Amino acid sequence: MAVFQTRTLILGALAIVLAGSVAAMGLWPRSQSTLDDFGRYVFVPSRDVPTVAVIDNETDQIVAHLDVGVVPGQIAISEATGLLVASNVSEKSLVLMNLETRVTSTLPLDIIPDHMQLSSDGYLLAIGDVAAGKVSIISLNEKRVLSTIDGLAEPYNLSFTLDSALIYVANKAAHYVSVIDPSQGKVIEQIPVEGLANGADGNGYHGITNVTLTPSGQYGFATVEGGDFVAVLDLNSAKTLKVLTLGGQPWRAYGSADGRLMLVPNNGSKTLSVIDTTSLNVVATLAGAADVIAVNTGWFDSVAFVMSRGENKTMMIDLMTLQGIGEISFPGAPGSGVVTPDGKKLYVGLEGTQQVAVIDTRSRKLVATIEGVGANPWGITMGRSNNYCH
Amino acid sequence: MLAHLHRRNFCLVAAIVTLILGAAVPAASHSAGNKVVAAITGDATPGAFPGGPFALVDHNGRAVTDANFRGRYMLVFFGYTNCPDICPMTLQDVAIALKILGPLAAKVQPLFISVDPEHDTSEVLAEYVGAFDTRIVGLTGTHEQIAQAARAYMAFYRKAPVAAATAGSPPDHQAVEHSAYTYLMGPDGRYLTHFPYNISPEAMAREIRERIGAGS
Repeated sequence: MAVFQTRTLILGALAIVLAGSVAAMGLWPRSQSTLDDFGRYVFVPSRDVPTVAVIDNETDQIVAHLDVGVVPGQIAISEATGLLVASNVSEKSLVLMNLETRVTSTLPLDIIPDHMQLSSDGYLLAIGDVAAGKVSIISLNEKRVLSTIDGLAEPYNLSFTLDSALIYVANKAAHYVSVIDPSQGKVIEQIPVEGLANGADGNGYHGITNVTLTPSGQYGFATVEGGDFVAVLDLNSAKTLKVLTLGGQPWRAYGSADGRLMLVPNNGSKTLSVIDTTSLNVVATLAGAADVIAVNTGWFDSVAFVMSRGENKTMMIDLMTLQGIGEISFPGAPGSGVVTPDGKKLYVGLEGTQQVAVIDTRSRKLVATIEGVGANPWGITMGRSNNYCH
Repeated sequence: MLAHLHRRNFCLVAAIVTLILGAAVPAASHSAGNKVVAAITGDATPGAFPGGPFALVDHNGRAVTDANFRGRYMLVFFGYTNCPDICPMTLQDVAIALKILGPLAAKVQPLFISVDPEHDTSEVLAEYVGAFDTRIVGLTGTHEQIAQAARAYMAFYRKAPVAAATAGSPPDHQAVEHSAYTYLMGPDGRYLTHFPYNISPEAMAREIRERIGAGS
């Protein structure tokens, strides 16, 4: 009996020592991360599972898998309200998750959330229903639909101005960009896009697929389905300022974070056009790649990463010399990435895998691949990004 | 009964050990997944670090260069006095960070370099930076001097089109678009790190304290 007691004591002591060792090695299961440092966390939705992986960009470790209850069509992170918003296309609703408490609620919609765009200040959400020709404005503070605007022509893309005061809508079935004032809940202006005057039947051009705004809100760069140009819109006068001929089928314009350049992949001709937003001229046309899906800039906007979904790679462009400087191949198709607020790191989801690639933007090297984020990660985002003052 | 008690203790200990091991294994697998699996072709030259010589005029009207600040950690921000939000908020955060640093702040030299030299004369800067913290030095100069400093620090700026003047700015004054990083340079003048806009002053102070402690 005494031996048995001693054995029990020894085992108990061993258990304590083991527990201490586990804790010291940092393997003890973490308590729930608060996720309240919006400059620190990268959110990774999946096309296949109803969870959003959260990566700590200081350690490149997954710190949480958030169960949002649906496979999201898209997510947005609002620092202002502390919410993760996930669109539920099949149920015509939004899932709103409080990132502090992880409690979710559902906001029903009258429209299908095909596209979702968060305002720059994080308080409003614009939802586009392409087929219905409607845009709903959501207050994330009040968690309700403020207004629904109809009469749009296949609203394919939505862009808030930096001050969140206006929304520019690319109408895929029309030749104009609609301007919505969310405070009034209505279209206040239409900007005709020249170059579409003859319409789809005349020259093969269809409607407007995207409008990218400069951070100052002065210009909008509108791309057209089937076109070979980008129209530069003067947003103050609501007119087309000029039309720049690019390559075949420009996808959309991607702005450098400082607004100095617009980079436009031309997927029909596999080229990349670089536009100077001061002179409003094309300053370079570079070799591109197949099916470019996104462009991100980093390291003081000295480098651009051009994501080719068709060739599973990113091309790197030196934005000081405007020359290609290398490529990084991936094991899966890259989607649109997100750059940390300091511009130092780029996170890219790789479809066909369960991985996120991490690129150091100064060294221009792949420094990590994070596994276990969920199948087919895409739409990766953060709650905070740009470093631009106007 | 006594044997039953001892057996129960043994089982309890075994259960605890099992629980510990069971929790540690999944946690370990999470941290083991960050291997690089992609190939790189065309090795790109790394980007340059920001920083370099500058020759400007301080808010007392004295000509200064970067060499004047050797031996201290420069905290450099590019902005302008009519900036409606980001610039004053950043300078406020810098001021708070200095307070948090306490005596260590004596090793730090905050610099506010104006990207609107036409408007931001030494007198204007003196009043502006002094409102945040008297330790902040405002710097201005000719257009060429400002441009040279901005190039060295890889900072972007340009006059915004007149119609894009923001609310809060004088109606007859153009806004200036500019990048909003705050750079931390070492006592030797070399780049250490930089902070994005909206970093908390606590985080800024913590990083500065760590850098000073490490003798960077």
